Amino acid sequence: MSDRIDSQLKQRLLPVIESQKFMHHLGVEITALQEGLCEMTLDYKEDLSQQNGFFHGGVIGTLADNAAGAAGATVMTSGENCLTAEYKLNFLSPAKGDKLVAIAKILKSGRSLKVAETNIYSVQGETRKHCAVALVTLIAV
Amino acid sequence: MTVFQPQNSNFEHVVRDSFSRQPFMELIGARLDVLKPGVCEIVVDRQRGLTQQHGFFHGGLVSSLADSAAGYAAFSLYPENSTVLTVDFKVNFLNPSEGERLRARSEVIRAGKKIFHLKGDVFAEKEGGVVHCLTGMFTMMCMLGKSDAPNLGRETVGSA
Repeated sequence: MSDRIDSQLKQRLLPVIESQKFMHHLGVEITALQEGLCEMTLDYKEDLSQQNGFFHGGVIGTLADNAAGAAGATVMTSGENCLTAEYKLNFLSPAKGDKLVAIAKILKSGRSLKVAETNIYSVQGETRKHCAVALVTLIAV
Repeated sequence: MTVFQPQNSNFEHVVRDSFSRQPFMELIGARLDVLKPGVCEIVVDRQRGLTQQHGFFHGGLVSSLADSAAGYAAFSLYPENSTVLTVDFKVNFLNPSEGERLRARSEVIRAGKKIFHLKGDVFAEKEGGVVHCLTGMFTMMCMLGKSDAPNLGRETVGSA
């Protein structure tokens, strides 16, 4: 698992990761971190569900946004702060499963604007289902 | 990339025929290049009438090309006796569309019964390289039982 995480990058981003209290509250884990890429994993718990027992759409949006933000932070200089300017999310199928995996990749890294794509999968045992996709614009401030 | 099975074995003819009946695509000189189940590529060569004030391809044109590629990528998976309509799209411009030719490529991410999700990208091709200019997401609807014939659902001009 650790070779999926660039330890120098993680070290540099640690203060920001640590200060993201909402992510800790949800139980989000960073499972891969490389230049221009971040993968986040979130285990299912009832607190995160909606009325059918699926992961709540808001949680999916949060994860899409946050994984993109972390991917964006990897391509920013240490003095820069990464903020989301906007995102658009499409739900592809109900997010039913033991966990959610969000994989964010930077598609374009401009001077101030970065564009990321996040794909979200719900994982149940061995099966992985593509449940959402987001396009995220990040701004370096 | 998911491999999709077409519902209509004649999809290539159906899609190319529909494309050839789009006056707007004809106006801009667009050509339907690659067509596979769930995948479509449309190209257009640079001409002055398609540019904006900096000489780049106009953003509206770049989006149109992506929209059209997405529509036909979805349409390639539709059953007989149906037509396609865009529900929504969101695009991000990544780089100025500067080049000799634009290529829009779209592929189906998820094929539902009625709603299809696609991703679309546009690349500017020029000597010495390719620039990724636009990326976006598209939602297409399958209008089952509606003909893809011209003037879909419109009153004919003059018919009081």
